[in-house]
Parts: sequence; structure tokens; C-alpha cells
Amino acid sequence: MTSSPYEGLEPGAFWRTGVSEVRRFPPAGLYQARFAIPRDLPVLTAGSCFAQHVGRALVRNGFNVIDTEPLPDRIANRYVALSQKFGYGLYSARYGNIYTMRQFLQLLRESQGVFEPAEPVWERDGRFFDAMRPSVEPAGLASPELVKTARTAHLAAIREALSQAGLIVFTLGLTEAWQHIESGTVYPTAPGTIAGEMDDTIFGFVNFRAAEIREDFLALRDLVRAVNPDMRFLLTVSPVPLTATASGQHVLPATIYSKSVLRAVAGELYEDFEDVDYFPSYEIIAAHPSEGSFFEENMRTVSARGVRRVMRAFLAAHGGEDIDGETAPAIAASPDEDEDLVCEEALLEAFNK
Amino acid sequence: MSRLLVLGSSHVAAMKQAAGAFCAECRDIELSFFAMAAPNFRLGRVGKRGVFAPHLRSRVDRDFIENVNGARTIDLTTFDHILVVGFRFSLSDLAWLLMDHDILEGSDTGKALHCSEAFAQACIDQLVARELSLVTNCLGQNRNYILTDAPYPAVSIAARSEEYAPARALSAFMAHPDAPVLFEYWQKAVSSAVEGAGYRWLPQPADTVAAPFGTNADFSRDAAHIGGGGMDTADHRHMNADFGLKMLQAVSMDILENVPDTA
Repeated sequence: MTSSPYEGLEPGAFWRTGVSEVRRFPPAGLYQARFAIPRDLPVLTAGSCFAQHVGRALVRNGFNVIDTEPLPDRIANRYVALSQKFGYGLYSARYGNIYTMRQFLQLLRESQGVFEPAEPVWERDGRFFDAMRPSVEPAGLASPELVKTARTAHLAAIREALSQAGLIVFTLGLTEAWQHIESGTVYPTAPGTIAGEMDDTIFGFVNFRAAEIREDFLALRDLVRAVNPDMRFLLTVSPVPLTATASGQHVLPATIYSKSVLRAVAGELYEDFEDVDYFPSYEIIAAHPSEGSFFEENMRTVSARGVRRVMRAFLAAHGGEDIDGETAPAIAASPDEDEDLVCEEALLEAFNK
Repeated sequence: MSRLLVLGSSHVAAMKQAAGAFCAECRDIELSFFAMAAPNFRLGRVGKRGVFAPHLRSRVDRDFIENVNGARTIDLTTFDHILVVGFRFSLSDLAWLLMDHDILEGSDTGKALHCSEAFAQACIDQLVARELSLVTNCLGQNRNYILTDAPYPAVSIAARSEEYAPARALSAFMAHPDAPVLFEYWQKAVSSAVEGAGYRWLPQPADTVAAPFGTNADFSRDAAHIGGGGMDTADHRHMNADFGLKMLQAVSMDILENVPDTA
């Protein structure tokens, strides 16, 4: 006589005992860390806007987050919003938001000298921008040469970050991107959004499929493991919906599609590789049990409360059980923290006139 | 006869020391002083009736202010002009930035990191705005105020570089090849912000400046303390009677357009 395979499973395996009858959300046991993250393990952070929350929380809670393009503490502490506006203190180097796996792969390849982006300098009103991170100099620079000089130093900083890192925390943000048609170079923003000019004979839209994202990750994994064979990965999916879609679909199904693809890829990578962990920030914020309560009124921006809940779940699994997000100022986002987030994607809203 | 009040922090002392010499030059200006420690001054308030009240943290503060000035508050409405000294639109933050960053558009001094000139300028804009908010909170609407910055540190502060990190940062800034450009930007930013808020701005006299954000060390020798006596020789931030006289002369000539009697 065979009993049901569901018999004896943990309460978390059942919707009723794992979700609907649990008084606290996110429920305990939602995330069980695959591997520990020692506080002294050098962590490289990257990803879409939401990754900024993750990075900050890690720093506040004493994790060893790498920053190879730091400001002096005095400047970083006194000019927080300004520094972030120029790309300082957001991630392990000043690369700004990295929305797609392809963009991340390109960046690491470029840092290793095996990739060269096409059309790397964009112009606007006589000022010049790094097309691969156009937001880090909000007013651009005076010449293309200065952009190149800055990028050379930036790539060295990325190499340094990669050489230090033992863990890469990456937040998958988007499947949609704009690319240079001939070379396949992918950019973080559409040409013409921050700088540059849209020319549909040069640039085209791409909506990466799951298989492509997986392949990109595998190539990236090979690359970083060549630098550090013990490198581990912690993947998350951003719960932040698309500001706009160029897919031709309505933005809501386009968002669900995009997030579903990213979630599926992350899930399979978790299944396939012991060095990959997945943290369900997406589920905590965006799944229906939270009834949208972790979003601001625009139903897009994640609220400070939502960030606290996410980080509480993360810290509970990584030795942060002594920190209560509701009471500890250490991880409590400031009321205006969301306004501090640097998110080029939000600029698309400006085009919705 | 014009009544000029010098109101502010410990930097008032240099002008008080110079009062005798100045009054001999400008007999039609009557000088008064009201001074206190910087925290008492910068967080003080001018009330609706025009009375300045220092920010008191303790009885010690209150007693000190009373001992120095003979009063705890001062009525500003009885003065034709009020020279305010003690706010500091300090470039120290920039000095710290340049300790390990070169300016991308500027000189390569071998620093491991760089930042853009736009970032440095944005920092200046922010530090100026931050200090200006203190100024407006303290002084309120204009009452014939003439603002001047606390003196730039003396270039001799470099002597303390080994044992005092701020001295190391400041002296490095003064010698930095890009400091003149940033200093000029800062001067314009301060002047524009202060005048934009409705006050008059008096820059530190050019002949007292020996380096970007650095005062000629001659002016820091024998600097006086507002409570009496002299400043520590390791101070390098407070100036002497010669400096005070330069400041008063600048007020008289540049702001009040008064030619000294000795001319």
C-alpha cells in the first residue's frame, strides 16, 4: 500500500498551511538558503533597480559588499543622493543598472578584453555619454575621449571587483532590451532615452527568450569561474513591473511574460547548479497573497515596507535573525528611499505623453 | 555716523582685535561686536522683533556669552549694517574627495580613482545649499546683513599633516593643480547663493589668500580667542588683528564704499 507522496511534507508545501492560514507574510521557511554567506565573503552586486535595495541592505547588515569605485566615507555619507545619482555606492562598481543577463555578460567580457561594444559613446546637446551606463554622468562629459578614459578606468575597477568576489548577487530585471543590430551589442537604455538617437537601421528591439538568457548565464558562469572557480551566485528576479514595453503587447501581459521567463530561467539554474541559489524577492512582493500591498500607488514602485519584508526574509536565512525590519533602523528604508533609486527605465515614463 | 555690528562665532575676535586701528581710520563708523562659540551662533535665531538669541546648550554657554558680550542676546534693529562671520561654506569635503580622486577633466596626479568635474561641482552646489539653509534658518530675512565666510584655514596647517588628517586633506587641496578651478567655481557658487537669498556677500580679501581655500599664514600668528588670550599655535583656523583689519577695511570700502580718513 503506497501512501500519498504529499503525506508528511512540511506545512510550507501546502497552500493552506504555507500561505493562506499563515498570519505573517512572508511566511517562515519561504526561503531556505542553499549556502551560507559568511559576513566576510566578498560580494559583488549587480542587476536592475531593485538590486540597489538588496545591495544597500547587505551593506547595512555588515556583509562584505565590494566597492571598487568608492567615494571617501565623508562624501558617501554626506552626499548620499548625489553620489547615487552619479552611480556611486549603488553596486560593486559604477556600472549602473544592469537589466539583462546579456548586458551583464557583455560587461564582464568587456572587462576581460574579449568584447568591445558597438557605438559606445552617445551624444546629447554637445555632451557625450557612455552608452553602456549613460546615467552615471547625468550631464555627460565634454568629449568622447573623456568617456573612453572614464570607461577604461571603470573596466579596471570591474576586473578588480571580479577578482575579489566570492559571490555574485544578481537581480534579473528585464527580458526586453535594445541592441545594435549588426553586432548584437545590448544597451541598458533605448537610444534617445538619456542620450543618443534612435535610428531603426542601426538599433533594434530584442525580447530575450528563456534559452538565450540561460545561455548567457552559462557563458557568464564560465567566465567568472575562470577567475574564481569557487564563485557562487545568488539570483533574484526584480518584482518591479516594466515601465513600458516595446513588444507590441499591453504592458501588463508583457510584464508577466518577462518576469515569468526570468523566474523560469532562475528556477532552472537553481535546479541545475549547486553554486546557484535563488532568493524569492519577486514572490514576496508580487505574488497575489501580498495583494499588491508592497507597491506604492503607482503599483510599480516597491514600497519601503515591501523592501523591509524582503530583506527580513533574506536576513532570517543568512544570520540576520536578530534584526527585525519593522524596528531596526539598520535595514529600514528611509521614507524617500524610493525616490533615491536610480532607475533609467523610469525615464521611459517621460516619453508617455 | 554709521553703526556696524560684527556678529558671529570665534572668528569675530580678529576684527575685535583690529577695532582700534580701524576706528582710527574710519571715524564715521561705530563698531560693535557680539560673539560666541560656533555651535551657539550657527544654530541661533533672529526673532521676529530682530533680536538675535544664541543657541544655548548649557548654563556654561549662557555664562560664557554673557561674560564675553555683557548680554545674552542682541537687538539687531539698532544697527545700520551687520557683518556676519562664522558660517563656513567649507571646501573641506572637496579636499577629502581629492585625497584619492583625480578630476577626470583635470590633471593626472596619479590617484587610483577619478570623478568628473560635474560631480565635484555638484558636491560644491550641495554643500553651499546646505550651509545656506543654516544661514537662512539663523538670520531670517535680510536686515542689512553682510555675510562673509569664516576665514580659510591658514596654509601653515600643512605643518599638522602627519598627525591630523583634516590638515592633510586641506593642505593637499591647496596644492592640488585643479584646486584653482574648483575654488573659483566655489567662490561664484557661494556668492550667487548668498546674494540670491537676499544678503550681501563679502569675499575674503584677495590679498589675504595664499592658495585656493588657504589664508596667508602671516594672518594666523597671534590669533586671539573670543574669551580672551591667544589661540593655540596648532589652530591655523583663526586669524589675527591684521586679518581683522583687512576684513573691516573691505567692509568699509567694498560694501559701504567708505574711504578711510587716512587716505
